[in-house]
Amino acid sequence: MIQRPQSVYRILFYVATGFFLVIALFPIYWLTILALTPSEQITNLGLLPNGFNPGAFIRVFELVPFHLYMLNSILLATMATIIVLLVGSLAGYAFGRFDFPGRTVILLGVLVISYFPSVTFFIPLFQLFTGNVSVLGVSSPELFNTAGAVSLPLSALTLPLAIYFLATFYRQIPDGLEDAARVEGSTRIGALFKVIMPLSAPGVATIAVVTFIITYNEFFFSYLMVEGMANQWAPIVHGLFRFQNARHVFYNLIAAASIIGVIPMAILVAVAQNKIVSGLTSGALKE
Amino acid sequence: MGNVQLTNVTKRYSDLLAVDGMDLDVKDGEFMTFVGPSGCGKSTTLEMVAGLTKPSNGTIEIDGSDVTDLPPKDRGIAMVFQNIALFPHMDVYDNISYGLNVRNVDKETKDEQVDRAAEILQLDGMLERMPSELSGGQRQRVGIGRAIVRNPAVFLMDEPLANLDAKLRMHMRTELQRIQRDLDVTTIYVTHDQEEAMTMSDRIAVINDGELQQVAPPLDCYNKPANVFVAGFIGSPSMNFINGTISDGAFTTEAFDLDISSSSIRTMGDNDAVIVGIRPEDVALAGTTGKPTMSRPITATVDVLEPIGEQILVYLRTEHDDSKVPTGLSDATEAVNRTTADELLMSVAPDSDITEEQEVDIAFDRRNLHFFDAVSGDAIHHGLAPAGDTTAETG
Repeated sequence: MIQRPQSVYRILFYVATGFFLVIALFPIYWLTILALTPSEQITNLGLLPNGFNPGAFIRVFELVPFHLYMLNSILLATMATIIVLLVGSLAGYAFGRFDFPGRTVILLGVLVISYFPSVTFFIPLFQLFTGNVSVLGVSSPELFNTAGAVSLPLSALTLPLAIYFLATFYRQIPDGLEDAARVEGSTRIGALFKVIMPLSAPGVATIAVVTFIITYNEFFFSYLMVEGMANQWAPIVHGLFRFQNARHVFYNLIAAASIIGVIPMAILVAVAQNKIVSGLTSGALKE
Repeated sequence: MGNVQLTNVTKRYSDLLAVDGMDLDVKDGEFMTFVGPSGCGKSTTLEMVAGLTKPSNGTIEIDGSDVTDLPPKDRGIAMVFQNIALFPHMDVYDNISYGLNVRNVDKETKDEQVDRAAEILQLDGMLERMPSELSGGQRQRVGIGRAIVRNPAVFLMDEPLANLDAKLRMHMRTELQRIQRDLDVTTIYVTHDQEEAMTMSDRIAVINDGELQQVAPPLDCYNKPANVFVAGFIGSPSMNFINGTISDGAFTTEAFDLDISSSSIRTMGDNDAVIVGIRPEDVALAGTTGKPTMSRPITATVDVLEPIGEQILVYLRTEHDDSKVPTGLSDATEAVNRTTADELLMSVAPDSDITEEQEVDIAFDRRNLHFFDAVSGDAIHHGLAPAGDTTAETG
């Protein structure tokens, strides 16, 4: 028998919240400590920084063009987001609003592909993007070391989720609105972009933000599909690895750069969180 | 300008025939109403004219050119929807001007057109509101504004008043008629409400089971229904139908006989399956009308009274002989919501002295009797002559 249930609930709430806060925030705290500690004193660190060197946050940009790596990451994520929204909307529209033969089979196919670990796609795609695959004598385009080599595979990997999600949203828009738009002079595609998408704004925004975050945070393709030069579309992960060489690893700089790299994501999530929450829940509570 | 011509238009959904070989010519400037029960194919037909649904067979012409394979936007039509279908994310101005925007009309023309529509529809001062801030009637007016702003060749209206409350519906009905008359645009209007069809239309197309039953001006449909379905559908309350047979110049039913010797129906010859239709307003208490055209009275018992204000609906039971009900009726006529002689409906003036379970003598107005072939359902004859000798009628 619990004597005072209200107090117990409150205590449990604080325990649970505290647990999640520690899990979520400790890495950032630890990165801050690492960043503030001068490079030569990074040994036997406690919970407090071993010295105070905020200059690391500036040094990051002096040593390597870290801002360019960040810009590359943001551009790659933006590209992937645009591709996912465009293709995902068209596919979501077809799957959500049309009943055609083979619809279920194709949708299941999309779902099955999304269950594959993305690593399995790497080697074939690497071959493809380095011009080693030829069909009827025409060799594949040399996308390696270009924006497409990163943003295309990552778009493709996010698309199944986007298609499912957007199909659910687009299905809920009444037929009458689309009919009205078409009678008034829009094509089906026009109606999709002028009426259906704006009315599914929470869903579209959620997919946009999720795609952006996935692409921005991704390691595997981001690391292997480019050589690592800032002027050749290398994203943040390559920027971070520039802070180590054969003889030395500047942990403090890597930590400082990591924190700086997180800032765009923090801003994005803060701005979009209302939309994301309403998008996720309204998608779940389908009428 | 625009006439609409449907030639053998058919719509098939796998094994369901929604619209069956419809031929129809809507004249320029005409107000044509498609009326029929729900699921009869009237909306499907309208959607095919709009281009939202593709016909399985047949051709649709608007203003002389074949539009069967054109998308809705290239047909010169505008449509008002039952659920109004305003774009919830756009204000009234953007909703009305949507079609103009899509066509890249310049701002000045757009303002001019929207202002004109707003004036016609009394929407001044509301152009900046969102649809959610409007009342039902205002929304419907915006929907109409969106339709008229582009000066379409043809208006299509799919039960535009169905979602409004009764009072507003009456109001919008006259509004719509006024707008249609002022703009003089060909209009195809879909409704399941026969009263709406009767009051608004130049012509009515009565549709049932995907087939055209009758295309005629409203009063023609009322006075000379082409078949038993039209007779039962047009007019409220619905027509009484009683089965009978014609033989030896007499019409016999389970409840009464009629002398038809003076009418041309006699020349039709014997027919052992006939339905006679009598509207409730053509049934009266014997001796109260003073008309010479009334049939000889028969006796009936008042079952239920339904006073509805301007009249009282009286449900009557008559004495009848079941053995005289013809057999071998077809599905077509069985499907009609046919009354039989033991539930005859009469409407009388509200001041009539009548009570439940009372025995009364009733008579029919012979001029307004309708005879239908009970097998095909088609009309055989409308109205009996005032019977040179009503006395010859047998009770």
